[in-house]
Amino acid sequence: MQEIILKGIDEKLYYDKCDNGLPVYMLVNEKVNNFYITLSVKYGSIDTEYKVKGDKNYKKVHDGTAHFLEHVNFNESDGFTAHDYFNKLGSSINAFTTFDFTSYEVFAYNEFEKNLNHLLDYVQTPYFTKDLVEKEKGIICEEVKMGKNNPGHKMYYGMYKALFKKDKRKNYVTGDVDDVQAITVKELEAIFKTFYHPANMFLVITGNFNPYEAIGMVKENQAHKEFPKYLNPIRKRDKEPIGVNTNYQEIEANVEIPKVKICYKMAKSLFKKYDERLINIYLSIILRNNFGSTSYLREELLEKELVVSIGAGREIFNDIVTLEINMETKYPKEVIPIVQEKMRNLTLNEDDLQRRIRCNIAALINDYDDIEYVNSDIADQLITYGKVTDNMYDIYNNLKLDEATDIIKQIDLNNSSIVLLVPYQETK
Amino acid sequence: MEYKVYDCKTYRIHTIKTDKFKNCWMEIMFRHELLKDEITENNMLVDVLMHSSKKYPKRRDVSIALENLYSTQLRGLVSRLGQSTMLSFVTEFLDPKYCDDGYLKDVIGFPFEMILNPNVTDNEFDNRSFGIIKNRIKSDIESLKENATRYAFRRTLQKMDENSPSSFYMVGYLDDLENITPASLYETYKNVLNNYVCDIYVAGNLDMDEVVQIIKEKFDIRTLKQEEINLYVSNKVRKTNLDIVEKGKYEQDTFVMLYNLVNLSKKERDFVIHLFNIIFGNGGLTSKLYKYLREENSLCYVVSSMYQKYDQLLMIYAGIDKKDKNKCIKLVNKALTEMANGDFSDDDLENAKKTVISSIKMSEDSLGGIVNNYLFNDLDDLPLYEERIKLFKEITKEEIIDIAKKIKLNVIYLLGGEDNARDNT
Repeated sequence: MQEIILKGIDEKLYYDKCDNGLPVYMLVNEKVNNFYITLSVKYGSIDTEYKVKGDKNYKKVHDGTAHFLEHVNFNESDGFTAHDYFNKLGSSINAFTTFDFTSYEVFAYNEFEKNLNHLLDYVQTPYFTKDLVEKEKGIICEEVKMGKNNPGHKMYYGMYKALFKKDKRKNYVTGDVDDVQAITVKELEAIFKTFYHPANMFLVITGNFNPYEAIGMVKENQAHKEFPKYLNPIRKRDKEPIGVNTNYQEIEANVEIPKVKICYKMAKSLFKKYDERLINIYLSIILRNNFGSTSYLREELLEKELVVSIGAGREIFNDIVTLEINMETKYPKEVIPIVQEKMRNLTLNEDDLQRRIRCNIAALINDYDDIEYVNSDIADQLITYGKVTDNMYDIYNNLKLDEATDIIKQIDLNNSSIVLLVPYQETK
Repeated sequence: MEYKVYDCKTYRIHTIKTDKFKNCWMEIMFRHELLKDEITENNMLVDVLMHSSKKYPKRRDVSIALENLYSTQLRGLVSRLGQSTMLSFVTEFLDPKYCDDGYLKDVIGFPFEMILNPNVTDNEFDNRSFGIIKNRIKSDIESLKENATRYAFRRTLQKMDENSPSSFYMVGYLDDLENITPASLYETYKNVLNNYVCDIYVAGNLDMDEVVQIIKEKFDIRTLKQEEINLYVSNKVRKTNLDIVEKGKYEQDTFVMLYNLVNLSKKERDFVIHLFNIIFGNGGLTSKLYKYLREENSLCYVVSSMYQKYDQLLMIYAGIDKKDKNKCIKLVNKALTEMANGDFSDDDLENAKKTVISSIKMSEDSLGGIVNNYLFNDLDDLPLYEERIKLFKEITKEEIIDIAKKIKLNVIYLLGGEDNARDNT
């Protein structure tokens, strides 16, 4: 087992790998009562087209298949689900599906071995019947409708639909009602067989437990199971052009005050001097400085009562970087040009940078108190970067103003979408 | 963990020393009987106090100062506990051992600087801060309908009894908001400092004698009151329940059933009802409601029953299709009848106890949870963690059956989508 020292913050990450390819990451906090175990599968909602060796064409499944699989994978036999098992232990379990992966989790304070083994067992053992799949459709359709009830959800997908021409992030993680109704047992079985392989999963354990005992249990559990050879499926990724789908879109929704997103889409290669993590950190600092609570612009827009709230964010998807400014405002026409002007004149000075470094380091130290946060941070790092960074402390300390200034210079504002969520028009 | 109380005459400081976290927590609380016409003004006050002060005249100045204190988080909130209200100011900050000398004094002093030296001139709050906050609260009030569940809860409680504190809308009221001025807000401010009860909780790996010394220096105030505040609302029972349908532009319909809990003993309020509710409707994915509504009939994705302790209410809700309303009512009644008939197993009860103990253990892993442990012990004689676990273990099946008979239906409510609500994304 490898011990990875996380430099500068007094923490240690344990890493090992089972013979069948399942990687295990563990971070211990002996001061808390609980432990938190997540088993994640690198299969998400955008992986709807794939092929394995020997396939001529890509196979296609319905949107929402990953999420549907997550739902029915809790079934262990007719009338018995993983919930029934964990309920007897007093543990709480859950699962979620994102664009990129599916994660199953258990949170508990005792019976470590039973919790760990059963998590591995139920996730890795399929039980899909036609009846169980049909029954789940009504439930998931209500989940889809619940999402549609939420204006934030409408805005989120509205933005992706405006920005992306090819990328499947524009489709609901759950699929839409029609997709859900059309999903079949066969599709679910095929996906399970192809993607739910230990080599395509990772296990993360955080909290209070003994890592040496834990890795012994995991290896023992996995050694008793047989898996076919991993087929290394290829996921179809259409190249996303830099141009956006729509420059401007208004969506009616159940809102009183309009919500606005101004998004910019650009090539990641503009920032090729820097690795992805650094691009992320710099962009986050720059946006916060210009639109966050320490910015002059925010103060001014609030004082003039032009906005109710304003914030900003950035994301990196494969070869694309997106920046977004979010606002709640009754005066979108007045505010949009002000924000666009600010985007052309982003600033950061040495004091601001040093203050942000201090904040990031404080957060880094702090966040390790929270075993749920640490667990999902490790999972996110594995999904985004393929590894856990052990020198965040040094990375923050080595941030430089000239690099940040260079990043600002590279930002390309030529491709943008504006999405407005507006109140329903009365149809009298 | 070491708990101590320091009596500072007009307020008390509660310290909880623990080396479990790298973070620390200080919460300054002002409590009073809840009065409907003070809700909006109290909300304004808390936000205006957190927005700026004499020393930090703009929100930007406050944010920079907090970031310089190693990203200290400071927030104010107004909440309701039954028929009482609480204005609280929470400061979350890094263990001083990671920080510069002098940090402890600066960080502890910070919220007091904001509260005691507000941005006030000639008995009026700064107009600029006032305008920003008023605008935000107005938007918060107006956007109530954006969240279907929250809106449905609010309407259900109003239908139950709009004079009951349980139905008061804690975000505030537009009419009241329009009448608030920078001068009236200053009167409200003085009222809080003259008439409210104050407690301060500090938790973390800190030298508590030093902390108390700093607080006493910064918070030298002689006007606060120390008196008992009754928490529990007694909501009236209805002979025949109401059955109400309202419309809104929603994709999904929200279904609510509201019940009174009648004459519960302290033991029932603190312990029995929690176990009842886990088996009945709040036990995550194994409760009766979950089984009947979701698993066996695919009627919903979300269904839960919430125990509102200080209102003595139980509220069931689910996101459904309105055509299934009657089916839902039948299934809820079936689950409730089974509870009253003792139609649940000893295992169900044992599992419910394990679930409760897990959630207590979980709460012990957060500073906010630890503070609440001592706070509710102080306010409501709720036993501390260990004692609570012991008492939960002793609850019997008969006690659960008894409580099922003390649940009386008050309102059935459905927030139905209009047929023209569209999804045009």
